Amino acid sequence: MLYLRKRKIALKKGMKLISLFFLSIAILQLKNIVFTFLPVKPSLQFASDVGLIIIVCIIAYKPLDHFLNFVFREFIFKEKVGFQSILINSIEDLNASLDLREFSNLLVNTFYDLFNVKHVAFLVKDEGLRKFVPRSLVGFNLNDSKKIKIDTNSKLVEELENSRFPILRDNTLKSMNWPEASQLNSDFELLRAQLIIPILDKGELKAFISVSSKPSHTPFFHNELRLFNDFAMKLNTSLQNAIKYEHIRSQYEELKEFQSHIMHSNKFSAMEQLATGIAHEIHNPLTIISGKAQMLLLNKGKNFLTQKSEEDLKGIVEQTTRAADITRKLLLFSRTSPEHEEQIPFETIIDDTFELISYQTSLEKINIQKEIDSDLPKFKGHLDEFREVFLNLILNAVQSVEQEGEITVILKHDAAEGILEIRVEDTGCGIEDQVISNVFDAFYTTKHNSLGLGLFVVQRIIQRNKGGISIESDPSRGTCVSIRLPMMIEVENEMVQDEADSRNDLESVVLDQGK
Amino acid sequence: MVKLLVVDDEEEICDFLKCFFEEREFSVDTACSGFDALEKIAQVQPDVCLLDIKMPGIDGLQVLKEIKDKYPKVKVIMVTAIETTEKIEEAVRMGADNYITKPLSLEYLENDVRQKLASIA
Repeated sequence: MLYLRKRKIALKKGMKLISLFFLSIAILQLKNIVFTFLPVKPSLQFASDVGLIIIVCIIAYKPLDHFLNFVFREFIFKEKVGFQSILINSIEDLNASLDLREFSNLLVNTFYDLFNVKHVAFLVKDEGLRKFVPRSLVGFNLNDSKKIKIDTNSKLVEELENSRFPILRDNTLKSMNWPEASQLNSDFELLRAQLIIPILDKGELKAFISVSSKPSHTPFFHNELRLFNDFAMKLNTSLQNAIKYEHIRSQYEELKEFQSHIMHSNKFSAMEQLATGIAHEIHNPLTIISGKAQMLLLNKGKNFLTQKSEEDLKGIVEQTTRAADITRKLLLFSRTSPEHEEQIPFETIIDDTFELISYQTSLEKINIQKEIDSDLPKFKGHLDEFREVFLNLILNAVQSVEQEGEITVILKHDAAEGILEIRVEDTGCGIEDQVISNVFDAFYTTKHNSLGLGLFVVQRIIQRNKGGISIESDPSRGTCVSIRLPMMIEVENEMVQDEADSRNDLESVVLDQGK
Repeated sequence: MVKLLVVDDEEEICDFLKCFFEEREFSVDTACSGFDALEKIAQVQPDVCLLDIKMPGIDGLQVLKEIKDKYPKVKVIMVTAIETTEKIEEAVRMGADNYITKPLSLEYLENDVRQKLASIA
């Protein structure tokens, strides 16, 4: 429907140019006439020319502009773009739009542009509220628009369902007794409506368009009403589709949110609960073991401890501390992080992970190291997800190396491409060619005590962050897993801004025209 | 004699701490639940209280609140199996004088208790 508005704006601008053109011709003519009657000294000729132009402009520009506007609007424009053809054209546009908001705005703008009316409203039945609520409005200020709600059992709805035809305020009120009329009148007042066009589905009112009186106060004629009625009937199907689509979309959004909530809370809070429970249950017996051993040590004189028993007791105290550390780290890894995204401290995560597996790596003589670029860009994501990524990749590398080997974690910033590259390399046993394509599949594993979910989960997390993951392996040299994460913080901000802008635009339509 | 109250739902922990501190000339009472602890505090009015956080029924934080409300002079050292930051922050905010985590280093614990006693005197 925008084409209509653009055309009108173009026409107005054109009209101004035409007015100026006519004026300049008039000035030239006038000048000749005036100077034949009034002898002006040649030295004053220029000044009098300017004066004349100013006077004529002031006096004649506005009336001429109005006159031309009138002529174009009432005769030329009307002839070429009759409202029938606009309505018919707009049906195609409306049928093509599945989005209820877009549909409503288009519909309201069509009527607004068509008749130059002050107020147009489009109300759709809200089954939950049992009310008709506005989906698009023009000409109402924000306060008034908030008040607009029509009960499904109101007199107006009854009247529209009975007549099954567009109703006019004056005619309808005249045909009623006083109490009914006053009830109906308040709804007409609320909507500032002269004309209301119902959209019915199997005799039930689903929506209606209310239009205020034309600026010229000419009435709506019966043939116009018939056309509106046809128009409304043709709209019914696409309106129903748009409503259903909106319903499905909102359910889909709800479902998606619910699903992500379940996935998140299930996965992490269960793990967190388990870890907390384990930590608690283990720390108490550890405290008793360690406490009793310490007591024996402190009273070693009384207890006649041999050198060997003393060392054993010290060993017991040390080992209980170690066991407590393990559960503490388990807890650290399982703790649920906040829902929102935060800056990922890659180096800290890598250090934490190294520490977690340090006992195993030192036992198996695995040399583990990191190479991290100094100018790493900020990257936002879910902390616990990236912990999971590094833990899985590094644990895989440890299991692949088994004994005596190297693991290197590399973090590189490719500024030219805007990519953060993570590589985990090992000198382990590598992966056979025939199975390498399966490693990202869920529940695929070559190990005895593994679920086969590690790389699957990592891949999911990386994909969620719009990144890519690949794996290269050579059984004689080892394996390298590469992750490429795009830096997309700025882009995301822009998208949010765009959305906010478009929302502002919509609101401004309602507000501007309300003035 | 310095009065100490040990509160822990694990009886064995209470027992060896009682033993340990009695050897060091403390008068030690024990309580195995939050409810028990509140009764003992009213009875003995200890100088220092070693308080476990996670206990069935009334937990350590509730006991701490009660102690700080009614007997502000009692020094309270929280003894926790796990140090979730929120719990510790909450305890400190409620007036806990220190916290230590299990498994305990008895030497460290003794030092800490003596420090708290010195601060009273």
